[in-house]
Amino acid sequence: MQKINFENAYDRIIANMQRYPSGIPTKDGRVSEAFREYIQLMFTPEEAEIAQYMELRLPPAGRLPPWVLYILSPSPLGQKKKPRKTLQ
Amino acid sequence: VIQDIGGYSYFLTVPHLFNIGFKYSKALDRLGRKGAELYQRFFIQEKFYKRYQSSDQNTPITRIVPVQKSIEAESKINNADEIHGILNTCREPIVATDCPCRKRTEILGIRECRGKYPIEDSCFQVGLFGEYFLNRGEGRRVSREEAHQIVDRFAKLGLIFTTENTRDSNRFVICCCCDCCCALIRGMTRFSEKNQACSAKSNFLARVDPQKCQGCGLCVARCVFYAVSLEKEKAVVDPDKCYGCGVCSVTCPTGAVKLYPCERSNVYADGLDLMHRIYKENRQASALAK
Repeated sequence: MQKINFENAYDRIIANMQRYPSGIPTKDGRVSEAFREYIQLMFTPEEAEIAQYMELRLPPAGRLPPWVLYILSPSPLGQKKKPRKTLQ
Repeated sequence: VIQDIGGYSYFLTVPHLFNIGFKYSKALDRLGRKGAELYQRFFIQEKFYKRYQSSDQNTPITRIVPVQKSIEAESKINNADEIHGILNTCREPIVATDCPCRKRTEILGIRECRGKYPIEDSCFQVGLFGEYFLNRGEGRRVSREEAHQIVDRFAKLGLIFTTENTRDSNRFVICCCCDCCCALIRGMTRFSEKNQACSAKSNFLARVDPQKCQGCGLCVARCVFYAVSLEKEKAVVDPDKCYGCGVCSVTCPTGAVKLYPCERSNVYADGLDLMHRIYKENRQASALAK
């Protein structure tokens, strides 16, 4: 059975977050260590395992508060793609 | 952190991820003081606050909205211009949570407004965000009527209302901000590098009727932006410093200070419009820096 690498799960979550309009906290051009630690506190290992596969997509029409838009879609901004119904 | 709502899975990302754990949260057990200290590091010391508040080209992500009472009665106002209009048109549910900013300073033992402003019920999550919090079993669902009463009470206390810099009624957070803890307002009042675009100025400007002004100085004491001063025992507003929050006006004993319409900051049509702009401006600035 393949061993889950939680460290990589957090890295993938952070990598996805870099696509957000405001980006993520950095220090000297690198991901802020304080931010990395914060994310590790925020997501339990179990949540991180799921969250790493969640893509940023536009939520369904009519449910579009501003910043939520980018939670589920890593696609280039402005390209309205149909969100998938469930996690894969 | 992850919640299923209406057949979709969500988690709130940057920048909301900074706040949700401090709003009323079960995550607070995990974050606690350590989370608040890490936030101090990446948000304040490493200066992410600028990107939280505005784009690299100074487009503010949020805007300040006054309370109707502070606006001159004859003024024509739209729903998105004023906090009661916003509460009347925003989507249900309206869920009151703790203010994450005051909660963090409280945890760190550095809250200056203890005893002056509350932590509880002073951050409203609305629409999808409201659902997200209710799903987590957190926050307190309030009626529109109660939300109106809460903001009226907070306006008297001197809190400033902020929300997304958009006209669309489909918004998600309405904040009740102070000058000493707020992640937005501190951009002008506390942080080392001042950010004029910490939140968009409202399209109102405070003006004093010198005939009515008795020179009591209450408005001077209440203005966190140092925009009001006394000259020859009359209050005077510096229009460049005024953010149009109306805090000066709400408790003026003679009604001498009022807000008047003044078109000076762009309000974006909706979240998509605003976020496209933020995305574009941040990427342009990064490309130019390379």
